[in-house]
Amino acid sequence: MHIPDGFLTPPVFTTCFALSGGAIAWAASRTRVLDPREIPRVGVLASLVFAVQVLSFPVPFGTSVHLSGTTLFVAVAGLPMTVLATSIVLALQALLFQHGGLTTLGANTFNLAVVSPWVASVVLRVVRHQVAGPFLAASISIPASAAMCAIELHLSGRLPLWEGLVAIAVVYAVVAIGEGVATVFGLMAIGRMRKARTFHTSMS
Amino acid sequence: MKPGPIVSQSRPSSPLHRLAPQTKIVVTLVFVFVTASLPKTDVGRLGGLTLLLVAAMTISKVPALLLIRRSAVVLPFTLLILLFMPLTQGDTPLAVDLGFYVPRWQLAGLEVVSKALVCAVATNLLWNTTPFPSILRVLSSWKTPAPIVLLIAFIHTSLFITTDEARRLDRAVRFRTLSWRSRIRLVGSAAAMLIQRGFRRSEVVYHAMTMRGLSGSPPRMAKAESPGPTQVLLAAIAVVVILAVGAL
Repeated sequence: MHIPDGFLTPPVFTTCFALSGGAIAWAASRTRVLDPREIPRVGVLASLVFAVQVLSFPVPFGTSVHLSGTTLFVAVAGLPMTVLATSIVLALQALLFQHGGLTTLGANTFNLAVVSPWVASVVLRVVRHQVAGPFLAASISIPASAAMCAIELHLSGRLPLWEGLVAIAVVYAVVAIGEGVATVFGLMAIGRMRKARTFHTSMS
Repeated sequence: MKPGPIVSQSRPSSPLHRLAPQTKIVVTLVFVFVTASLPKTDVGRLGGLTLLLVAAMTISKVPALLLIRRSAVVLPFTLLILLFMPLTQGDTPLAVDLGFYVPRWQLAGLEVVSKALVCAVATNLLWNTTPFPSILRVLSSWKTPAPIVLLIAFIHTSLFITTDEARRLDRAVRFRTLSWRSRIRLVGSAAAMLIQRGFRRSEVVYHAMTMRGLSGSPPRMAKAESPGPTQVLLAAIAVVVILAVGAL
């Protein structure tokens, strides 16, 4: 879902830069990212965004897809911190590994670091159930960012809108379910670890 | 997209390696933005810009195959979009700059693949000829807030540790489970474990930094030397050549 250079027209990528720039400014104002004492925390979190994407799970047709981890991060670290950490990771991915281009950095940031965490955050707030909330948040946020990617490509004349959206819905349906299930188990595991840690701390 | 292996930068000595990092960053950005903004049927201009890139690759002495192989990461996405080209572009023949007719969708497909690859190779060339600390020093001298530069440096360092840890966990999950249901469950648990360990590590790092005198004000970072007049002239010539080829 990382759009490479050359796919988006200048008006589209400029608009995306402006939108994601605004979102990053908002996120920075909500966190203490400019406080040097927060650097280790945000730094480790951002490298975790990258590392979690190394974990893969199988999907039909003999292939596997990687975890996005967005909903997990929103649930654990909050929306502004997820937006910031993911944005920095996307910039490093574009420079170091050519995952996404330099001109499309704004669009990729908007899709993966703004739309996806924002949708996950809204769903997590609306659906309070311990299992249904994270599952729905993860399952909806992934196709939402993919749909935004399809819209940007359509506006640049690269993809027919409806066919593109249908194709994305089919491709990401399986991915979304897998992400949803993994997110639920991930949050349950974090809950267990926190309980165990609290128990050990109180015992000591 | 799955992150690829973390690769070290090659460090042979070439005129391109010796150029000031500021010059290389500015020229690469101009090159990528001009290439990405070319109109769809400009095969001639795209060819001209590709020739400029090939010249830079030759001067850099970085193996071309290595650059192309690393840049091929753009191909899966590009091929996915190529499937839709006949739908968006139609089959109407179109005259191109070079004077012959080709179906519109084939031309659009070729243009998309070429642009994505050319821009990826250009970015890769920058990365392969400029050490990461130099890029950070340039960011610092361009008035980027010090905490942001430090943050990027910190992420770059911890990226290697966390990604390696994630790879080991991924391997363990793949070797120990057979059914896809238990694997998804284990992937979720592995992600949780990574996050928990990461948070704990961040606390340890924070305490270590405090012990070493982190007071709340960011430590000063060495700034990049400002490029001399020759470097500025070289950058200006390169930018003018790129713009001229892009606008011809």
